[in-house]
Amino acid sequence: MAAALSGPLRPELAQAVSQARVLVVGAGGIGCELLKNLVLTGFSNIYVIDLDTIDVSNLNRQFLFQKKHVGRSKSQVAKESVLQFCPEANIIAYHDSIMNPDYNVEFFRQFTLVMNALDNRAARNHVNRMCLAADIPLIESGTAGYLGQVTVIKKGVTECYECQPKPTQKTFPGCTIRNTPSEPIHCIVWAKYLFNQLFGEEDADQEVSPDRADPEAAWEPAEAEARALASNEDGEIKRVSTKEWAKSTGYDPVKLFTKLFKDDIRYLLTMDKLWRKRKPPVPLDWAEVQKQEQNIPDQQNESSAVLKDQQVLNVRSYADLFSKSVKTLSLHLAEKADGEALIWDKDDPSAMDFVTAAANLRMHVFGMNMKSRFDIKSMAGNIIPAIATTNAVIAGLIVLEGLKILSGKIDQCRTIFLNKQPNPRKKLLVPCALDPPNPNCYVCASKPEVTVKLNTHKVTVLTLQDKILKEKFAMVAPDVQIEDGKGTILISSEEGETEANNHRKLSDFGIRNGSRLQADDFLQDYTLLINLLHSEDLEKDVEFEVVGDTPERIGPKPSEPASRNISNGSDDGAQPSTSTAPEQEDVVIVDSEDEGTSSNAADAESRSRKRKLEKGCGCGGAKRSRAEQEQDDLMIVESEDEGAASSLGEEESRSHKRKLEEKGCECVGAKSVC
Amino acid sequence: MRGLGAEVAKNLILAGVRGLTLLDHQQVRGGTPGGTVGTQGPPEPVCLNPMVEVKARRGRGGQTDPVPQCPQVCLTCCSKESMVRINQICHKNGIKFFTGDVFGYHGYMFADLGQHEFVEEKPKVAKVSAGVEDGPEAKRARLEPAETTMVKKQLQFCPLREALAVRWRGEEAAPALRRTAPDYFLLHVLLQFRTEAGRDPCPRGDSDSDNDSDNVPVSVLLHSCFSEMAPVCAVVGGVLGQEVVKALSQRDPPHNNFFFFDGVRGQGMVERLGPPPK
Repeated sequence: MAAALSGPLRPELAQAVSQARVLVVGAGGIGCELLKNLVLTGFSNIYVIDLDTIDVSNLNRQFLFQKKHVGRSKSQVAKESVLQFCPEANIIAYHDSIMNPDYNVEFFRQFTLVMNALDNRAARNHVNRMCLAADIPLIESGTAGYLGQVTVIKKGVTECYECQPKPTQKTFPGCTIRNTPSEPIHCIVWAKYLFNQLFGEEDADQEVSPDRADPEAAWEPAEAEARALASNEDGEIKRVSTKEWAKSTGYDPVKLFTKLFKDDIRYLLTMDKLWRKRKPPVPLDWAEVQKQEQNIPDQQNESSAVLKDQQVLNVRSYADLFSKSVKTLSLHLAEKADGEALIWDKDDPSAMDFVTAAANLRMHVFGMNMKSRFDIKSMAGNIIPAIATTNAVIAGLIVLEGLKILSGKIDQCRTIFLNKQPNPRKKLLVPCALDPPNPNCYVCASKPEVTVKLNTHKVTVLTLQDKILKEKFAMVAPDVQIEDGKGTILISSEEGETEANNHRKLSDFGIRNGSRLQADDFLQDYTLLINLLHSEDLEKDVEFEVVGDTPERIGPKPSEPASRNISNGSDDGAQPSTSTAPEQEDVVIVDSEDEGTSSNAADAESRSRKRKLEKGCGCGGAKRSRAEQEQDDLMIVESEDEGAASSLGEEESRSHKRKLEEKGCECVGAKSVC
Repeated sequence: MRGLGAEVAKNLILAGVRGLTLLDHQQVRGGTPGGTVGTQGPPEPVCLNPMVEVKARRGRGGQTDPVPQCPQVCLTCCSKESMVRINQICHKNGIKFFTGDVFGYHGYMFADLGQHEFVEEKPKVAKVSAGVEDGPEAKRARLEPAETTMVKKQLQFCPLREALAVRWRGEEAAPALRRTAPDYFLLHVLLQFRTEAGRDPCPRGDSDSDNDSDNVPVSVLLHSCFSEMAPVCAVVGGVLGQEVVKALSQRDPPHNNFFFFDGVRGQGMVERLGPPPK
């Protein structure tokens, strides 16, 4: 990597580069590549921050780290490794979270440029706000498998990271999970719920038994009551908690098996309306299953241990695995102190065995093809493999965008998408013009304002703080006052001042329909005005709704750019990664918009993305021909058929659809297939 | 072994190829003096992945002819003549051939995989039995979109000589001329310069730009094609590295046959140039 340091750049730019002070947020997959590119391009004042320590699973792509570094601070080791081949660089490493209040607006103001190399949305939101507050240009990036993206954010000039609503992780409708699974992911989610019901924290939203209130079953109330009564008489389905019941049987695997895969299924079959247009499930009988031969595992050599995970076993083997894992887990649970529960972890072999077995048995019951432990692990753990070369390409693009900013040519900056295969216009790397700020953005507008619908008699101050302000609006330490003319303080970020309010309802403070709250985050220098709408008819389990921000149901109008799903690689919902879950680094959880979509594995990602785009374009669920306009040159219209395998591969059509997220998307005629 | 070569080597070592031989005849410039380029680089290549056998050799590509011993060959910053010659040897011996270069903001990759077989993962097309009166909901429920199947495919590549010998005169070539990435023609100019001057253009050689300005189609290119820019090496090296891995693993369609990257526009194009496929 002996690229000349001064040769390629014009002297003015070379000087700007050597004098620039840059902040790299994250020293992981993208961060390592980025640091190397920065010093080789001639940057010499580099600050790098990462809260993580090095895990052995990082070593296959984070090339600044070696085995001897495992357990040490990423930012510190990255600095040391870079100094080995570029001793003259001036690198300052922080082993810390960028969300720490020490890194305030003043801290950000010292930089010429901030570059994100992050793996989670919470930190991305935060850095976005800090850069807006400090008015420092930010280069945002992300990768997911073979896909990647780089974009530039500049206050008042471009969209900010939060200008377009980002889809939140989708939970599946309860009745799909409990009554009518149609895809493997539904069974995997059910199995994870079941784990929690039996061994973990019980959660009323994670019920696994048949849902008698399924609106689709649409019984007469009287009939329903009769059925409920009948089933109680059977003694099979009682309204006691699943855990209590399981305990009372001493976690007897055969009894559990019989309840879950025979009695509950038989019960579902009595809800005959569900099965008029669906293939009905087939109950499993333990004794019948035991008559089957067991799979004989390949024992040819040692390496088959890896391959074994990729084999799909038969029903008998999964029944045995179920039984074995129930026994192991109940022992683990018994070892715990009273009241403590197990936590599901894809890397705990018995927990993973349990989910593999239970999910597969349910898939079999519902007539789906079973899946290997490997596949289930990747779906259950939301794993998309991180690919080193994708990070390398994206890190290169980040520096190129940085050079444009340093030359004062921010108008030439682009959002650049990396595709897996070239799109129909032969582009593998697709530059797209940056969008101007969304005037209604609740972050970067001059007076950010938002309307939230909730039930003031039900929502507590704590819910407002944790779920609405922190989780939804990504504040770190909010202060809230009621705009009631008196300026009543509802929440204070100072410890010990307003904790007494936590469990009181909003209505206790005179908050009602039309009330306005002012929420401030001092650190982010961010003030948000919240208009409250009182509503008693929110859907079950929905605590609040942000008006105009329900991408699942209301897509933007076709003339607007569809909501941009930054393939922010690695958007694992809201939680920053920690060293305890390192292989989730560079992992994406893509939500699914549609009942029938899994949110997890890579292929599922493309589907959910497609569906979203279809909705975003206002021609829901339809394949279509479309035109796209990019900068000055005009483009080709590609029409896709349902089976357009020959010329347009899956990847191409995906990348093509991804283009819709970009500016200038336009639907020209929709051809519906369903 | 320069910026691009080092990037590709790093990516291949991280990907875990079994063995990698680095070949170069030059001394390190600007870095630690004494070693060959192959043994330098951040950090020592062997540290990246102890499972990969990395050998560094001194010498010119093709001279000692180590080429036929390797199943894949990847060249960087070679003259057009050596690239064409080594490609011919590889093409004859069924060796997968790659080459690439970075000139300032511009970079390219070329692949000649000969007759290349690979598998591609395709979603299974769900058969919907006709005549069954199913609601769309039930139809969708039965479809299992996560199901995929592996499809075997083949691609025929052409040698570099043919890819560089495409004729652009004549009316039938005009539409193709408009659609082709300008970087292809820039590559011709730069390779020609390399052959004639025995080096790459450099910004301090004032005469370089003057002499060539008649040849270069767009004058703005002049200011963006000097030296190897590290971020451009990262982009081209990433794509090239991934292509080598793809060819080795025979999974997923390879880029046939050029990849051009324009760092000024941030655009990457895949072009198939050469005689029309048979």
